Amino acid sequence: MIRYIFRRLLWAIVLFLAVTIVTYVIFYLIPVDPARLAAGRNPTPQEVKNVAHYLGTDKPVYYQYGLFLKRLVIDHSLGYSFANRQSVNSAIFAAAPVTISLVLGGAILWMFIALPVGIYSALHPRSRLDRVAMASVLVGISAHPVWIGLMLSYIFGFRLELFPIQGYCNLKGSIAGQSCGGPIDWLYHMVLPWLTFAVLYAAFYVRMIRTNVMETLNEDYVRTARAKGASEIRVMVQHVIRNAMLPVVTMLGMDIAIALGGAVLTETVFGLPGLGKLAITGISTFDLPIIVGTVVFASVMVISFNLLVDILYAWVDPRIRLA
Amino acid sequence: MATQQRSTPLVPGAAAGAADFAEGGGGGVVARGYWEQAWRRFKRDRLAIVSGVFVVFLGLAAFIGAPLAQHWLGHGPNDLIKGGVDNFVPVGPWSHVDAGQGHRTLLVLGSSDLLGRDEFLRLLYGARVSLEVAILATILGVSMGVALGTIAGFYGGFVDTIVSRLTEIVMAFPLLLFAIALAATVGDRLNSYTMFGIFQHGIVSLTLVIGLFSWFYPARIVRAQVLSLREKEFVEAARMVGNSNLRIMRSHLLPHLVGVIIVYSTLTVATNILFEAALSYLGVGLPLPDASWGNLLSEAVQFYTLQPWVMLFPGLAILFTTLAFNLLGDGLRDALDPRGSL
Repeated sequence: MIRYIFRRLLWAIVLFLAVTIVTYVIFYLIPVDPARLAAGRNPTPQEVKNVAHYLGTDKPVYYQYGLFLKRLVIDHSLGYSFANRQSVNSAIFAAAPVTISLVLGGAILWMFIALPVGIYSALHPRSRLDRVAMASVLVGISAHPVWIGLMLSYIFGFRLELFPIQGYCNLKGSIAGQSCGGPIDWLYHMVLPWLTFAVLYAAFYVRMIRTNVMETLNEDYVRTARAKGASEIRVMVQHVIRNAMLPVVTMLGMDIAIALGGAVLTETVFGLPGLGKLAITGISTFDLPIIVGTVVFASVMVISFNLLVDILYAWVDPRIRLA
Repeated sequence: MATQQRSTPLVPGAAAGAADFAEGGGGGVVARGYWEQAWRRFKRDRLAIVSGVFVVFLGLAAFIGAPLAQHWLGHGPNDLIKGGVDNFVPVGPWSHVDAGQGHRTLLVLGSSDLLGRDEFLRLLYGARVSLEVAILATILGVSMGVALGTIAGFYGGFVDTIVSRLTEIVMAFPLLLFAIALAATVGDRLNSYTMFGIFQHGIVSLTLVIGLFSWFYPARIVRAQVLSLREKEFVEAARMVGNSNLRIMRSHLLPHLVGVIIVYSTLTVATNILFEAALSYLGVGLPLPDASWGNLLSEAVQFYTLQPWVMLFPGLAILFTTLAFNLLGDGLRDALDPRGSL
């Protein structure tokens, strides 16, 4: 087990290096000079040179990358934004809570929708509710997330005036420059983004849970359990749902990790200042440290969730760690 | 019928042929081929047929209908129409408005933005963009995926490790962010490349960016299939009569993958339509003033509360098109792979 964890950890580090190197190389290949952008209007060549020296962009790419790694490992710092010299750490720490509340709240909501519907559909295939569920699943995965968001905010926000259609409120009381704050305002502002986020994923999960439960129902051990006289509830809870949920939990971990890297579309529709919004701003201003910062955060999320799932699986199933 | 549905792709017609024989069909026994059987199954799936017809109709509307409609209406999709904006709000559907210079013109679905452009024409031209980008990117991505997956699955060992690790690395990337970054930087430079004028601006770069992000799922699926196929007797037989590796892959393995590839490609077109719309919505896709469904959505954001039509139409266009491709893909899956191994 220790050997297995060690191997996975090593691979996680390789993955991390690969992702960051590719990010650096891609942005090094861009013909835009960040120093020129940061130097202000109509800079003289000497000014651009000074700015480049100040930002460190006059050095070769491997030197810049080495510096990035050194700063990350020794100072735990992701550097400073090219555009406004703000620390990338603080920019990410400001944006992360927004994305985390969006993703976690959305995930809870979509699982609350998908679990009962998926299980019911699997137990009663071709029933009326199953047909309705499958039709809504198709619509859910075919509609554009942006459009779902706009429709929800038009109907519930604008027409019925139930929820605000823009903005974010801090969970722990208001901060400077914000008129609202506290848990109630936070919840109130997050309802529509959560719904938007959940509609899309609930569709995927209903379908997946339905298929998994139906497959598990055909397993030999389910028949054995029934033959041994286990009650239907016990068969469902202990044998079917337990086994059917394993792959669902894996997917859930992956999807949450990916979404934490930036739920870009939902964040832009509802004007939430999350990581996706931060990354988009960074990309449009060629702000390499901000882009690398969000990419690092996002890939660390994906890699560590992967690692966690792998280790949990190996712990549950000895065949994996011995392979 | 049950035996017919269960027949393997290896000898697909055998069961059907036997059934014919048992009924005493007279004369020679004609075995139904794999494709004939698939078509018989597909015909029975009404939703899939409707979706297929819709896709063909959309293609005709986008490539032939759009220029015709432009001719009849007398204005282009990028033309600014003075009467298309009423009190800083785009006009609604079916309005006869002033087109300037004393002409009057009809906006079938209203106008799409504050410049009074024709929503109907922009939707039609947007369909062209969506279909071109989604289908070309799918062809690009799926061919890369099939090539990599076949090679990895067939050779195994070191090659397989490399390809599998590569897929794993790519999947650890925050892909949407990366696609946005690529489209905003590299794609931006390629926008003016039109492949000798065949495509409009931005199509080639969007295709490349989206294609680059749609190869790893097909690669994984094809690899898994090839892993089990290469152990089959017919591969051994092909090798025994002296076929080269390349020939085995091309002539003996690929034909077995055609079903998987068709089904998967259809479903990928649906995802890529959404992908294209997302990139254009974020302003890194098709450059304005040309229309794409994503552009239309992003313009709609400004005034959808005042004029909800501008948001409704592009959204519905995307919804129906992806829905059609998804249903078509599901139907093809049932037809081409009745045993449900996909």
